[in-house]
Amino acid sequence: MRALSRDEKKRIIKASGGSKEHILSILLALQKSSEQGLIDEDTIRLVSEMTGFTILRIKEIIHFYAMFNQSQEACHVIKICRSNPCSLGREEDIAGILFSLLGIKVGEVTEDGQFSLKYMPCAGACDIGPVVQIGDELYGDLTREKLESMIAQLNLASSKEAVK
Amino acid sequence: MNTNKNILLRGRGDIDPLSIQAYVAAGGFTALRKVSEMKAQEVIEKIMASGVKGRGGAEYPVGKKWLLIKQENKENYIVCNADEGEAGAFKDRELLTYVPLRVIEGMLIAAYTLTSKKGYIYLRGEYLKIYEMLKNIIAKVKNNGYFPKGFEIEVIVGAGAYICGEETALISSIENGIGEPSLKPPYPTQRGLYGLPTLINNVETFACIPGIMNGEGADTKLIALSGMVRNRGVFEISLDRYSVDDMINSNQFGKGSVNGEAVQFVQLGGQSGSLMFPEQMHIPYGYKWMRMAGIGIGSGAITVYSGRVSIVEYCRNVIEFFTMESCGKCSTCRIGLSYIAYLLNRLCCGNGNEGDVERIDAVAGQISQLAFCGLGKGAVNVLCSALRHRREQFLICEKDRSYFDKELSGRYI
Amino acid sequence: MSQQQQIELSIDGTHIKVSVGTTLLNAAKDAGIIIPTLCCIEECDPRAVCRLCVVETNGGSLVTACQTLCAEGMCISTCSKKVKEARRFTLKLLLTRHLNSCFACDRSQECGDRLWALCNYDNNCFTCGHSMDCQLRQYCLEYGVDARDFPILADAKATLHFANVLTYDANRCILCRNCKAVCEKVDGKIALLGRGMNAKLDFSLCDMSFCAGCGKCTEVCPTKALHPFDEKDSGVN
Repeated sequence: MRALSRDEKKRIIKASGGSKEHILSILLALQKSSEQGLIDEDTIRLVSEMTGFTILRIKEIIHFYAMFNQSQEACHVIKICRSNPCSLGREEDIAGILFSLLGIKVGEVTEDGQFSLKYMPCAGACDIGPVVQIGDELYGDLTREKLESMIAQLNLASSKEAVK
Repeated sequence: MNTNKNILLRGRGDIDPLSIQAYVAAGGFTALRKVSEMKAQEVIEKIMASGVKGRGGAEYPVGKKWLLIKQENKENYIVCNADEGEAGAFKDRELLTYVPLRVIEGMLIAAYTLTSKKGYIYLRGEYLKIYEMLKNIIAKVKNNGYFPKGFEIEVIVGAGAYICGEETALISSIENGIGEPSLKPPYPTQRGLYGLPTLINNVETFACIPGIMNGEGADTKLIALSGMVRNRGVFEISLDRYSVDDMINSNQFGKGSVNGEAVQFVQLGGQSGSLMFPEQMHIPYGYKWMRMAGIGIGSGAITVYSGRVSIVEYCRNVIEFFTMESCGKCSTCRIGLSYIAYLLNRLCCGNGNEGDVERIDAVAGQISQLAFCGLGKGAVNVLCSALRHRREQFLICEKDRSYFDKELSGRYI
Repeated sequence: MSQQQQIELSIDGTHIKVSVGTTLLNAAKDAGIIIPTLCCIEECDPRAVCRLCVVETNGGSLVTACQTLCAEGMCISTCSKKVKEARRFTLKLLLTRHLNSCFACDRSQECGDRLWALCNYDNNCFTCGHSMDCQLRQYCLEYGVDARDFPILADAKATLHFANVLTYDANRCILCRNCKAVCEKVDGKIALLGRGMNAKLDFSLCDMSFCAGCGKCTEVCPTKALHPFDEKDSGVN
């Protein structure tokens, strides 16, 4: 992914609704399309121009909601649902399994910058818990085997990306 | 065999959720057509007569809410609250995924009845995957001529904030980006979005409306069954017909608890709702009988926890959730909840001090009466309920440091 | 000129008449009853965030006087046992994230503020440097909160300085947001970033010399955590 041009960002803003009411989907779309998964100062300035929100307000919005990144993320951020229906009394300790597979605890990043682990509050998928979210995808009914396979696939995808 | 009535989820899995043709063939939009030929007062009276209560958790009489808007006699807005943030609640997701047309029909009935200016669906950010689909299906319905003249429905997506499920915070999120609750009164029905009367109803509430107008009544409810049952999912049940015991064990629903373990407690309505204990699980599930026992069904979420779970740890996790979702505006909720989380955490880690349970009791009581909005007040419901019914579990933690033999990975932040 | 509708209510046993639309706080003030508040500013609409101004209604519930409007027949108590306990609770909560020397002094229980001038104790409350101006301290003394009943629940943070205009000690900030509210009327340069326990006031936009330099934000700070630039202020002792 490369850095977006000003025109490309404008197009994203317009496609996401363009107006004040749609500020959240505008910012989510910009974050998703950005190279580093962050909404930088230039982007904030552009959004301010096009929506009428002050720069200060946009910063406050970015800090208020959980789905906005405050710093550059690892390649694959694995969000573990920590809510009671998914986590309490479960046989599978997802954080523990991922620690054994990746060597990192929740809040940490692997040395190669490929994976990081975070907690997330309820994903609304309690019928398939325990659940993790990676990118936009939700994975449920997790077992050690499933997680092993997921990590392997992500590693494969990353190395293919690197070769390009 | 499921002998239940199937009104809200009719068509789930059988018909293409995005096909207007299929929906109409199955009787869809009949109610809307009826309403477009009725007087507003007749529609409201029919809804009031059904006795339907808000399905988001607050259980406010729906007909009364619509009447309040009508009586304002002003331009008004309609908002469908799809910010389903309660842990254990996923039934709105089911409706929007499988029968979105029924929800839209309900909103359109409201739009005709109240001559509304504009409608919104506020969709929680975690449900981003169905955002595009919803926008498309709304455009489709509009292009097929079902909308009142000049009426629009916008889909606003959230970005991860439980507080935006609270109606004044939801309004604030649409108006100026941040979900900050404001004082009630004035209620949204008087002064809501952009200062105008605003009808805010839950997804399931709107889904009930076509059935009511078609004469099918409103005595089915969606339940979201999760936790330690073999069969988790969203079911439609007749109110007052089954008990929670039935729903856990019946082959129609839960198919029994996992590993046959005895159920320790059940969380109803999500983590701001009521706890239910085995001695209460025979009560018919519905508004009437459970209210008499001091329990509410709330949103319809039912999460089952068996004996292996610690109720103290459960409460600690619940308070931590609310600590992180607190908007931070009032000192009570912002600091008070993190103080309770701190006390519960040290109980859970075997570092409880003598008197901790009394401390927790006192702080919870103060939060209950001092918090600015429903988040703070609701946050301590489960804890107060657990302390009332299972206080000895908490006291054990205070006294016996070896109660928890496993190290809990530092969850308190 | 239209006659404003008048309503009658009683506050602490005193019957008063006020115009419709008057808040309980103002009605009490007119009757000579002062209700404590940390987040009320004259220039701004009431925000009810500090929760200190709670009063008890005849139904036994607590409401914030700053935002609640007077209603006919209301019977309010501004100093019942319930109200006092609620205020003490709120003050104790605020202290959990208010790091300072004022309560570190182990003699503060007997001391009160009468001996400040004579005190030559090393670690006394005066070392906070803002004890004389601190409204939080005044209310704590008034309500008999003279020790930390609740533990400290925050880590020490560095004091920050901005553009030689402002000094901000986050350790003593109670997040009343008075500064932000009053700035919004002038400039709108103070940000509140994050939510819940992670909420922080951010003055970095004040750094970019867009700040009007009016100093109103420092005037309304109840603990003087925000005050005019003082390079000698290094925060918690």
